[in-house]
Amino acid sequence: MSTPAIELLGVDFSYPGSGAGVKGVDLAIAPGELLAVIGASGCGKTTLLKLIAGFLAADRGTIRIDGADMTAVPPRLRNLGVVFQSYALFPHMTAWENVAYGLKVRGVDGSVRRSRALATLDLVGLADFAGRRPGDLSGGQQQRVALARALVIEPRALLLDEPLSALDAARRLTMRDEIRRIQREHAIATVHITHDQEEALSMADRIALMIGGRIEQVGTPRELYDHPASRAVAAFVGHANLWDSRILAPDTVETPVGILRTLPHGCATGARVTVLVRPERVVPGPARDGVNGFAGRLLRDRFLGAMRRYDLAVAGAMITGETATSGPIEFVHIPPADIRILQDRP
Amino acid sequence: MQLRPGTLSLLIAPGALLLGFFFLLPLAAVGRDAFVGGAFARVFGNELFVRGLAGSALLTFTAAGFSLLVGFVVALHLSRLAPALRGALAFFIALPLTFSGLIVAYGFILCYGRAGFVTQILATTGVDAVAFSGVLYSPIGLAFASSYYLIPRVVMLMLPVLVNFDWAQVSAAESLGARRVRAVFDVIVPQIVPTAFAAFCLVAAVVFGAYGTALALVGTRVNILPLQLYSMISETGSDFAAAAALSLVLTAICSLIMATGEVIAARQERSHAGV
Repeated sequence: MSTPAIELLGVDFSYPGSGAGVKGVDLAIAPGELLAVIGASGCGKTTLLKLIAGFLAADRGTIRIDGADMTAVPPRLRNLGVVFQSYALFPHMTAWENVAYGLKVRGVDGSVRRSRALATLDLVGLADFAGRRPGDLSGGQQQRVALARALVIEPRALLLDEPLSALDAARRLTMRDEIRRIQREHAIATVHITHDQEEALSMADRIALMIGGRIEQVGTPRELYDHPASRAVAAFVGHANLWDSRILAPDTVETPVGILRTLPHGCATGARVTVLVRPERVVPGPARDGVNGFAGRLLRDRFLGAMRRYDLAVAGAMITGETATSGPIEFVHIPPADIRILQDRP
Repeated sequence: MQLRPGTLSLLIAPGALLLGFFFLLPLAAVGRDAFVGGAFARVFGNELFVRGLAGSALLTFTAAGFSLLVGFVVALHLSRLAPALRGALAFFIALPLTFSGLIVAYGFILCYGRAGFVTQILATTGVDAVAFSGVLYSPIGLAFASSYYLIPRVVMLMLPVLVNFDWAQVSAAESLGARRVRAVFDVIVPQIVPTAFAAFCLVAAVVFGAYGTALALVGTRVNILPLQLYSMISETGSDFAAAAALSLVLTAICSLIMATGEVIAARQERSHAGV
């Protein structure tokens, strides 16, 4: 395996006067990989980015960049491109001057500086706006300038701190693809901090989910979604039916909505577990083989454009499902292959 | 919201009346007196005028410079506090603005005068009370006392800029390779300096024309233009035409200082807005 572009080993940090921070973080980002870090507000995502960037000093642990120990190295010597949530553009400089600033600091000659800045602005589609100041640019354009400013110094890695959160929904979708395109073209390792799980699922090669300052699970988007390591991961990533349950047999589990047949799960009989069923795995209508079928009363039915999300009251509990079909829903069934058993309880 | 011309005139009227009766009319009256009998020539020809101008300039630069320095540091500290605490502290800091110059002077005499509270405490540690209190009645003491009501003005002007400043810009500059000092000079200074300059000009104009604190503290022993003007119209003076001319000179200098600050700040604002 090649040397990770960024590697964190046992990194701890807590803000003075509070318990908040990050604890025991072990993480490796491969060259060219886009790793999204997601989690609820205050879970330590931005703290993690600040530690990698060098804006905060770790209490314990090691941070390596391209294999070199950078734990005690100041931000200016880490050569990382950072895009801030607020973009942090310099308002008294034009777009190209913003982009060229990192080159100016490095002592690059004036004409070379300008041509490289303009070339990078061209890369993000803003060559025509080079002479404008940030106050004259839209949010999306400012975001591109910030990205260009981070890229022009040819950084070892990119750190993106919720760069899309200030954009409207339509612009955000465009910029996701744009960032991904540029990141792939440059094959640059990228840490993308976001609270938007859909953004993370659609952009990332891998996702790290943080809860309470710790990394709860790292995996591909598909792994996190289909095979969450814990109930907390399952609850955070996507929508989920999560039921406190008890194992009745090697292929049977008792849930609040009724007894479910599962694939052989390997859990001990009588064990307390959490059953996870994703809403899109709940199939409207009765099962042909009669397995895991439930009749219920439709409580809520939300139109979401391409599909609808509904809540069906079953035996005093609730099954949430998603479907593209229309018409009334009185019966649903859950295929055994779509039931996940999580061996932790809240 | 578009206002009808009639409504607009009604809203403007009180302010216009105040401006007319309490600024333009007195100014016209003073101007009428000033431009007769060679009053300006007598003012500019008086060797005390040049010394007074120099004294006023020294006092202005000292007091405004010191106030800007202290006010900036205070505002910087306040900007980093929680909004509720910041609001409470800003209220107390702004209190001196409600005091007259005379009260400020009296307060300083009670604290730092020959029999002042602080002077007496220091005297018990061997400090010469006469020498110490003498400083208060000097131009330095006057500058120090003036700062008491100038610093809040600086704080009130600088605070919004510092509160709204995006400190991530400094981090951005550092991540791009700049040392902290360079980041400060490249990123913070260009954005803060215009407001700091405007604040300096405002407090400079205030202290340049102020005479209440000066009169109460040093009488006419310190030669500054406002006290020269006072001498001309007090019971010892009788040249009202020269007093009118000097008051116009003072008004012009104060207006010029303030206008300079406003122009620089406005230019910078337009520049940041990309206009």
